Amino acid sequence: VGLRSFWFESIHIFKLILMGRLLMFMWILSHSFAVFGQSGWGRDKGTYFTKLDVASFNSRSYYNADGVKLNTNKFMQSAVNFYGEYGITDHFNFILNAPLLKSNSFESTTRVLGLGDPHVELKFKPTGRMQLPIAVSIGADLPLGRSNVYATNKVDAREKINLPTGDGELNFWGTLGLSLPFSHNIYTSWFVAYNDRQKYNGLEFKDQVVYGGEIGASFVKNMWMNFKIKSQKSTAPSAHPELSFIRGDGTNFTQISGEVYYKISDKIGATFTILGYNDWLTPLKNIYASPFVSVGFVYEKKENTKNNE
Amino acid sequence: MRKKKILKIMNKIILMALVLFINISCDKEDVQVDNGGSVETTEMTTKLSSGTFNGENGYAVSGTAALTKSSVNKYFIEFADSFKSSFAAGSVALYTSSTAKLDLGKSSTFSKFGVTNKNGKQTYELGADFNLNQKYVIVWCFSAGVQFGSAELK
Repeated sequence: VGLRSFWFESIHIFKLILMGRLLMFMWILSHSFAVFGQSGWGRDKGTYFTKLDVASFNSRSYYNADGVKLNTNKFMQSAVNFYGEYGITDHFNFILNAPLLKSNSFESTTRVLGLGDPHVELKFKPTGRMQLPIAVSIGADLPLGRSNVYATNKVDAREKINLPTGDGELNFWGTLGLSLPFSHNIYTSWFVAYNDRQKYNGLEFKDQVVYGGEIGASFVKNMWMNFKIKSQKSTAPSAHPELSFIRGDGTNFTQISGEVYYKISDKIGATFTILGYNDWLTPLKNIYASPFVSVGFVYEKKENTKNNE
Repeated sequence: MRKKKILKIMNKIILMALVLFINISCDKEDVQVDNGGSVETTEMTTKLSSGTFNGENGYAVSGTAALTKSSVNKYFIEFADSFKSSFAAGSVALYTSSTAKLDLGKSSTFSKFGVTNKNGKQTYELGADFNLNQKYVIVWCFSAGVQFGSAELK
């Protein structure tokens, strides 16, 4: 009888812990800055999240394919990005991350414009909304951007440089995400992703592993903050180092960011993000590195209030 | 009302971006560089010196270059058939320089003689700002400001 009582007590305590977790999930899902890409959470059927942001970046510090820092003419990039998540069902989400307009230039060249490669993703939450916040997804970067677009030198018009807005090649992604709440106003999410790169003009590029995590918290009403770290590592050095800059082959980096999200209303919000690069998790290779900022506007249809699990 | 206004603005931005994309996606994307200053010469020339290219800063440049002089005292840089550089990013500028690292801040140390986006044999006539102290042939990405490679003429 004593052993039976012990098991009943244990199960009861476990149920209480689970209930507490469920309440935390519900609170975070309904109050947080609800971008669920690269997390274990997902959207309910019929709900959506959209964000339009503008980012601007410039840098003279280029880390070449060998990781050697070069001081170059100033490279400038601006982008208007659309990000959207939609709950097709309670188990499947569709994600679109589309650089609607990218602008590339050196200080010494004219500016070139074009669409970036949109990323589409189908996310699967095997256990539903409230249990085990783990999700898997498959995605692709569609080569719709301008894979060759030449900027002209301002001093000598004979000299051109290719500053494509897309890498010209189809990428297939697989992502595993995990999320956990610490309390009603603090959560963490982690992910690992694999990019199976394909060929461009018969040239094969190296696959990439990307992993990272974030901690989010809300200490002020209607305001969330998150801090993210993300690292990308090429599975092998580029076999075509002469193409690395324009095709993004052999690119390694660690990116950190801090973001503030302010909810203007239940459906509308604004974001401000500061991003930067460092070599904390992998040496910087084939990348311009410099801090930059992004400003975004959010429109969302919030989570359904019903507890559907 | 405010929400509708914000939504309308977001829609307009997306539409404008799409229209702009459609417009700029339809133009030709071929790089068109003229001969970049290379010349066809029938003059008899004498080789004064030559050198082998070495890649720098992670870029590959190889082959040989020679400094030649014609009977009417014109100077030329001649790339051999073996000349090869990276043109994936477009075209490169060609200089003679008195320093192994091109210093665009000191105009007396260099002379620009051409632009190229092709491998192999090519000949360039040197300008009046060339002097025999400029013993290095430099392959330079002018837009990025990065030296791709150089050859010391000996």
